Amino acid sequence: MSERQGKDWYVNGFLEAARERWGDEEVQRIGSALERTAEAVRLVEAFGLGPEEEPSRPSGLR
Amino acid sequence: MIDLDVQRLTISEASGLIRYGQLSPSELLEGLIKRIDRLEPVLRAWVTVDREGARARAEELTREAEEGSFRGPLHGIPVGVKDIYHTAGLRTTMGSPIFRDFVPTQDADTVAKLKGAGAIILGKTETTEFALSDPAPTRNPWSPEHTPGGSSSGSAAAVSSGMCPTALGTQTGGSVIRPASFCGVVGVKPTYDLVNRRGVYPLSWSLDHVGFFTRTVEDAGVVLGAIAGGRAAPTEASFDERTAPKLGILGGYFKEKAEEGVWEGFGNAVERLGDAGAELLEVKLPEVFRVVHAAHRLIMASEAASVHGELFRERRAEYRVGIRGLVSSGLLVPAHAYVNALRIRGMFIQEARAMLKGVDSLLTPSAPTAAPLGLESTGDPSFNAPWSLCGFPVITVPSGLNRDGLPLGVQLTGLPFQETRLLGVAAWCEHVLGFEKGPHNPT
Repeated sequence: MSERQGKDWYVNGFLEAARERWGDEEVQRIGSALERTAEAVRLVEAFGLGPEEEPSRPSGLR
Repeated sequence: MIDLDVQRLTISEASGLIRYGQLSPSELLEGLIKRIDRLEPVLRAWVTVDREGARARAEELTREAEEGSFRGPLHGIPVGVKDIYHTAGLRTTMGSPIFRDFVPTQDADTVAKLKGAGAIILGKTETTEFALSDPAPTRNPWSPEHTPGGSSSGSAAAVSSGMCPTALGTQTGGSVIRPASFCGVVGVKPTYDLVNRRGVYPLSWSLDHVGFFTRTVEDAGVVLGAIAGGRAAPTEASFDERTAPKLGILGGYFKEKAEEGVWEGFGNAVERLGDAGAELLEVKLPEVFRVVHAAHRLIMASEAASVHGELFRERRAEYRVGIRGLVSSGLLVPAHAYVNALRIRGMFIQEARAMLKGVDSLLTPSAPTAAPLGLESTGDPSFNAPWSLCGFPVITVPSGLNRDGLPLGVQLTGLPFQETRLLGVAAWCEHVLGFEKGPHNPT
């Protein structure tokens, strides 16, 4: 997925993938969860991260 | 026994009476069981009340107390345990029909520590399914038409209504702080991994926290001391009324998202804290804050998909729609997006440390609303999720009532592993805000 795409692109990608795996009816039932997660992917991908920004680790607080 | 309403007793009060022979663990337990029998048909806080097991344990602890022998700071104190903690020999359902008959053979680490400190496991409290969002049947003691919040719904309601003086919960997003606020009690989410999670059914390993509910900050110090083991465990909440804290007030997102009545109540609480001598400093949210909820969502969904993996493939139809939606969406998250979410968390940890520079604690409302009407939703965890993401310790203290008579709370955030300091600040705020400590009687 490209960070240049808009919200619909992410949501539609999620819905399409979900439809293939679990069918239309199920996508209707869990659609709001899929949309929330798709939007989260978009926001995270659009946020500028430099190479020095490493993933947190469980020991990161110590 | 002296004439007592045992449901009103805090841990500290009950412990004192037990130590001086004025109350036995069995008498305390029987008083609380009576309370449960009276209120449970309305509140539905419990999956299982272990009357038989608790009575046997209380008798043993009563004999020991009569001999002057005490196991620890919770000797004879009945405790509720959220139904996602393994309890040896006691059914543990995770709020799911899949585990309706599951009986663990071992205690979760925290449960074992509570027992070691002398606690009586009174029973298992209601949880949303797998500690996400599909509601439990529990009602709010302050108004049974309202949710108590979730996912630790039963634990919050049980402590609030005086069925037990403390109960364990867990928090992945806002599952301790939010229900504590909705039910007018103290809620604690310690630093990530300060308290061992072994034996707690996971939702998202890197976001899950053991937490708990009490009716006072002093009691919170006692419980945290008992379950944190030797890892920087505070044994009591330090309270020095001569030393008012420096509080970092967060506006921005929190002000915009809070309901009018919540922000008004928060403003009143801040004013009272300031009048009592707290130094109030405005702290700005960092740029990265605008994506912390998205990062939290991706980490939670991805890790939940991994936690539930095989079980979900085999028994998907038995999952309720909320948890099914989360796990399904987590199966579709690209790996690089999950890693980027972890990178955002790393940034936020650094920024959160910077936000706490020069203040003892950050202060926000504990939730954007008071307890919502109805049981369909457990409310909005968005004011709590950032602190679950970065793993910093958080305490909510009741701050008053809104115009509808529902409790509000203030959320205090401290630096990692500085729980003693945070408890001290919370005790100071509790003293100034002066919310009633007694259990609430549902009407």
